Amino acid sequence: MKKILAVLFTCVLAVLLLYVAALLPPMGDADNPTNRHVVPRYLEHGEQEAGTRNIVAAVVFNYRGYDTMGEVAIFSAALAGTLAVLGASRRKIARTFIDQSGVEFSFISRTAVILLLPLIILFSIYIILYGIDLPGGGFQGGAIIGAGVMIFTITFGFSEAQSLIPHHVRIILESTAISAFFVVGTAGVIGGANFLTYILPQLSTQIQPIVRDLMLLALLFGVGIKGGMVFTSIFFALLTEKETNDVEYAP
Amino acid sequence: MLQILNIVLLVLLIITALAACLLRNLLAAVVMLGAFSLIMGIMWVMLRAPDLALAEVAAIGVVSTIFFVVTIFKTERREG
Amino acid sequence: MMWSMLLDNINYAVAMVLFCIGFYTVIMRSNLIKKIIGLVVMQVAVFFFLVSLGYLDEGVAPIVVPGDAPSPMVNPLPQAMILTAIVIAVSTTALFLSLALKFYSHYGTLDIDKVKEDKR
Repeated sequence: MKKILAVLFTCVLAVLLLYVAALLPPMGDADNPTNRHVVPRYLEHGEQEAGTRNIVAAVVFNYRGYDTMGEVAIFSAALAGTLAVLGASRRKIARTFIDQSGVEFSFISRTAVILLLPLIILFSIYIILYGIDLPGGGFQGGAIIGAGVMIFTITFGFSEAQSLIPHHVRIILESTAISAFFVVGTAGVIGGANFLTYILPQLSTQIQPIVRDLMLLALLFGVGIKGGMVFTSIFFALLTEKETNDVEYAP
Repeated sequence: MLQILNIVLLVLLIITALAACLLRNLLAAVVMLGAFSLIMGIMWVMLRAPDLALAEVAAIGVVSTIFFVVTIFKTERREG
Repeated sequence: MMWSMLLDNINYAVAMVLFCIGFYTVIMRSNLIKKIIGLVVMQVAVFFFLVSLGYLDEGVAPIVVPGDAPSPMVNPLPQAMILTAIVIAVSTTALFLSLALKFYSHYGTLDIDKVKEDKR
């Protein structure tokens, strides 16, 4: 009975949504109402005002910079919530089910991970650095760093990975994004303009582009490294959660 | 030509989403979720959004899938 | 007449079908992991719909290439919004998964129907 009701409700919802989809203006039309009001100004003056060639990065960090600050706050809240639910471990070195399995990874896997891991980290730094002019940006590089650390943990064991990025290093690096936003924003206020402005009116016109590029790079690196460290911390917390694992831990 | 590629990708999207939601083996469902994320990444490139393709494949396709696999390893593997 | 209009906007139609698939999974499946998978499918469907709204037929990616003839670029505003939304999707998935782990350690099963039966 409940299943028939649920199927009926989903079908009615699908029919209504498809009716709306048929009535929307055709996709890809040049004079759609979404492409008219404020978008031509961003596309024409974006490169000159924001100093980036990637217009999406200009919108994310310059025109809608407060939204990115809110996104960093959401990231920090997710990390805090996950660690509060799972119980952050304060042991120095721990062994989880990855270390205690009887089967070791083969020689091919270990060699492949050893050869690929520096390239992965180099690629992630490249994507963070070139987020200004090419597709890429802060969060994408951070996710790739997180993925690289996860592959290393799976292949070599948790104790090796935790000795690589210990607890006190992760605590400092997880706060890079919000401190970068705070420093850059306050520098805008000290320089004589609003919060989070990149063109400071008191400097000479020679130094203004350099200062703007440095501020954008600081923000990009902050968001990138924070993303990587948040993913790593959540992964370590999920691995070492004590109550659902029936394998004994060695302290 | 691009129309045909668009329609093939949309059909693959629906097939992988249905498989991720209807399979009983949880590990297989999570792998289909990773495939769904990869097909979506190709779709983002066809919609001229390279930033989103990078972010989606790296964040939802790799990191979220590994979170799912660690959780499934610590709990049960079959539904029902 | 309606079918031809629907075939023009086939991206929107598939996005709405995916949303309904995810919605059915969230309300009907009793396993917690299946509910999380349905939530991710719903979120990706909404992202797909919003970015398809800003597509131009002969458009190029919104990156200025110096020295090229100017051609119309697609709308960059939905892309910036969906970049933040992808971060939010991963954050809610991680939080929901940690809650599911605690649920399993407390009740011994991930099935909501079995927990409801035992309580009665």
